Amino acid sequence: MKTLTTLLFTLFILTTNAQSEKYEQAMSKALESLNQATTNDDFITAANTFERISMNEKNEWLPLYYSAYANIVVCYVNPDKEQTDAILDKAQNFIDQAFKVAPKELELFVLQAFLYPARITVDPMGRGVEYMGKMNQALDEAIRLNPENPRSYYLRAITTLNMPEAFGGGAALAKPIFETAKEKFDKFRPETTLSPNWGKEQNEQELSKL
Amino acid sequence: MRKILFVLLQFLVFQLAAQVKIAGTVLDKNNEPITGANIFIQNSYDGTTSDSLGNFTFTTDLNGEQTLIISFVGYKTKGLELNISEAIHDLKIILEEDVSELNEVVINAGTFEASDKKKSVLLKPMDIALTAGANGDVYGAFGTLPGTQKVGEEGRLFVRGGEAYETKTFMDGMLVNSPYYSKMPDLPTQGRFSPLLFNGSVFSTGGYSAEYGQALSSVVALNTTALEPETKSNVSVLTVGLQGSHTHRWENTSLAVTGELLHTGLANRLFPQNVDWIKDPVIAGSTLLFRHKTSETGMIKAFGSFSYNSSDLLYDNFQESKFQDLALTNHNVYLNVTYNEMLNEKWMINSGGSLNTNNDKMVLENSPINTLKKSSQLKTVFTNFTTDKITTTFGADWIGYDYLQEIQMEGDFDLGFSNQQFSSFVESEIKINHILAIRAGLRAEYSSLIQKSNWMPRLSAAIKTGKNSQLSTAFGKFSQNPEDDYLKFSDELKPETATHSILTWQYKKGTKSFRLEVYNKKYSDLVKYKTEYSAGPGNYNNMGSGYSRGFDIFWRNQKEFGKSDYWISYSFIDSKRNYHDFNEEATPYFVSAHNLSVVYKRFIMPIRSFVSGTYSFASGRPYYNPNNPDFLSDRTKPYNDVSIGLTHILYLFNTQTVMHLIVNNIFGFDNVFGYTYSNTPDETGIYPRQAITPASKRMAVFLISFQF
Repeated sequence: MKTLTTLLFTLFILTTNAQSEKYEQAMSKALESLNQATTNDDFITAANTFERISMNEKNEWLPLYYSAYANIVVCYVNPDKEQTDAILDKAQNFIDQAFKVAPKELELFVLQAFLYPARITVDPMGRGVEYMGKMNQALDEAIRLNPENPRSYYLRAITTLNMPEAFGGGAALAKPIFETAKEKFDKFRPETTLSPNWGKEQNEQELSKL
Repeated sequence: MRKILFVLLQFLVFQLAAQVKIAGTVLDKNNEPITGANIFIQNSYDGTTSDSLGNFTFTTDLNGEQTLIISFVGYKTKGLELNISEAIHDLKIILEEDVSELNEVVINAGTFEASDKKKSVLLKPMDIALTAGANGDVYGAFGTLPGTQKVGEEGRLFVRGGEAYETKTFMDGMLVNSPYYSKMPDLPTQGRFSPLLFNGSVFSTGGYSAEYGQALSSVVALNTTALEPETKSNVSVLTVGLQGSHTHRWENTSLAVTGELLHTGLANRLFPQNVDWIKDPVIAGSTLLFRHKTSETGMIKAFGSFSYNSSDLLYDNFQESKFQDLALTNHNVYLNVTYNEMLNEKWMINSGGSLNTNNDKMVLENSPINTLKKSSQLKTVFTNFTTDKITTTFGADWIGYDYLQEIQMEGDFDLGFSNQQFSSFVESEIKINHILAIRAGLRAEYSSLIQKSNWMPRLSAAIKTGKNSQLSTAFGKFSQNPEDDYLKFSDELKPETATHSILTWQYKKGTKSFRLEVYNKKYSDLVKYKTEYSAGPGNYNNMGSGYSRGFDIFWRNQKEFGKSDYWISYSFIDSKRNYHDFNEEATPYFVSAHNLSVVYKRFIMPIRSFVSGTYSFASGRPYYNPNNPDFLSDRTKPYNDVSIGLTHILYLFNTQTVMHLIVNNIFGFDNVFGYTYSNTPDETGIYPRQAITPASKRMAVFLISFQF
């Protein structure tokens, strides 16, 4: 009887381990495909994979994070105005769910700030003011939670660069922010191999163009 | 013991052995492949994404009864029961479009909505702020939409043969009793509130919901913004004064304060006036906007507006051939507080209260006329979402109203009345399927002054006639208490009544929208009198009647940002009434048979400027000519106006700066709104006349605004 209990217990631990191993394996594989994604379809495929993982791992915010991230990227890579809002609604839904799992996670504020400018592309005239405001608020919160996170600065730099000078943007203003982001990226070490770790290359690329 | 081990082992082995392949195609209902659909077995990692031909293949270790889920943005998620024992090929999955995300049927007969959120709308909130010729006024912008009449000397909205008082304004569901600044005779007024306060507005030209009462013709429902997005300040310098605002945002709370001081002295010197101003018009005002998010779904909003305006002119009383000193001072306070919350998944509450005092002090040649109007309102509305197909709304409101006018003119007169208005309504909207929706409502009102209850049924429906088009219809009975100017003399009057029948066809595809609306409106119980301003018994009655019928056309093509965006609206109306002191049925002075507006807007990237232009046309309006025995049969010449707006955005002194220029009637058309006839004929027996014209031929305002 004792043996049986031990056996079942071991089996249980093994299965649980197997489960978390399965999660990590699936996540690593999905991250790899996300990192290699170039086309719209690649990003949708990655987004779908993370979505599937998220449905089985209700206590993890990362699968939701990446699914939202990949969906947002789709809106930047290949903007289809008719679809953008529906895709962003979906991404926003993932972010909202992720916030329920990890309410104070600064990377989620960063991601939220990454989503807002995509909303503007649908109707720049009507939405510009509202969503720039919302984006700045999310970035301020992210920087407050951790001033060392490079992605907050990268996003601020890229939106500053893309904004016309008339609206307080332009290359001259963006450059020092890209430089700050670069310093922070150089020092940045992700918590785990699965933690968000994007933006460094894009930052270097933009900086080299200035 | 050994047996258990064996079972466990077998279980593991079996699991490893049972890898099955599942393959198929995802299509839409036209057999077109869907790329990027997510296909997976519920509660597992197993799944894949469909490729460019809609094909998919994946393997799974699961077996037995499983659910295959297929989802894609814009389509209804599908669940498919599968019994997995061996490989499954050639699954053909057809996804249905999700109508709630695309073009679901929307009941919209008689309604123009400006919103960012909904796809069915024809206007955006920005359209209201940036329409040339509207002078940044909500009502001015709605005046370029079909169903409205151009009445240049009024500045208020005249809808489908209705007078200005037949349109009521609501803010966040609460009645705004004095939405316009007080007006001088023959000079236009405009709305008190900046369009930038509102992020959604509805302009209804008839057939509106049972939630709204005491409006014969039209409803303007303005919804204020939720939490302000960020802390910021703004200072504007205009050729007519100063404006400033500060907004502060906390996590769940925001507060905005605005202030303005306007003086038209400079403008009145620059643009020759045919009004003899003794004191140039001055406006001083302030608003407070407080928002607090009480929960994920709950919001408290408070709004306060305090304003003062005053002017003094030498009034050319042509009727009596004399000039009179006429001074007007107005104090207005409006406060409202609303609270909205989802009580649970099925119930929502919207409730609020408002207070308004409006005091007009008019002095005509040392004779004061002081008019004080006080109103207060309490309102609660519940909404029940029984299923996603049936939504029922019901509510009640109370409006207390006190009117007092003190006149010192050849003696002292006090005219006044009080009224308590109780109303309740219930309305259900049923989506029978995704192409057909019906809304039925009933409103009941009781007025303590009139001592009569009134029942008003409303019915509307909409049906999709294609993927991008729909037909919508509305019917209803609408009633409104007679105007203060009659109620103050007589308590024998009852509410005026109108019935609306409307049929609308709307087509919207991509950037293009088209809308055609036909309507028939019947008026009854309109106020008639023998003598104006007389308290004599039996002078006033409800024997008046009338009708309005016609059609409205709206066409808009809103291309991408940086390209042209324009709309054209045209209205034809045939309207006659026998009311007031009319001896026969005639078209009243404010109705012109043809009204046309062409509104053009474009953002020109290289010069970072937004340009807009509006052309307005109205055919001649009737005017009363005592020399002509045919009552109201004369027509003025047609009305023409081209107005432009230029907005240039730049970065100045390290702050975002906006320069804005508006020019009205740039080509200087000589417009005539009507004629005033002298009460005494000249030596040949002809009554001489004088044209009612705009205060100045052209008008321009320049504004520079800094935001930091």
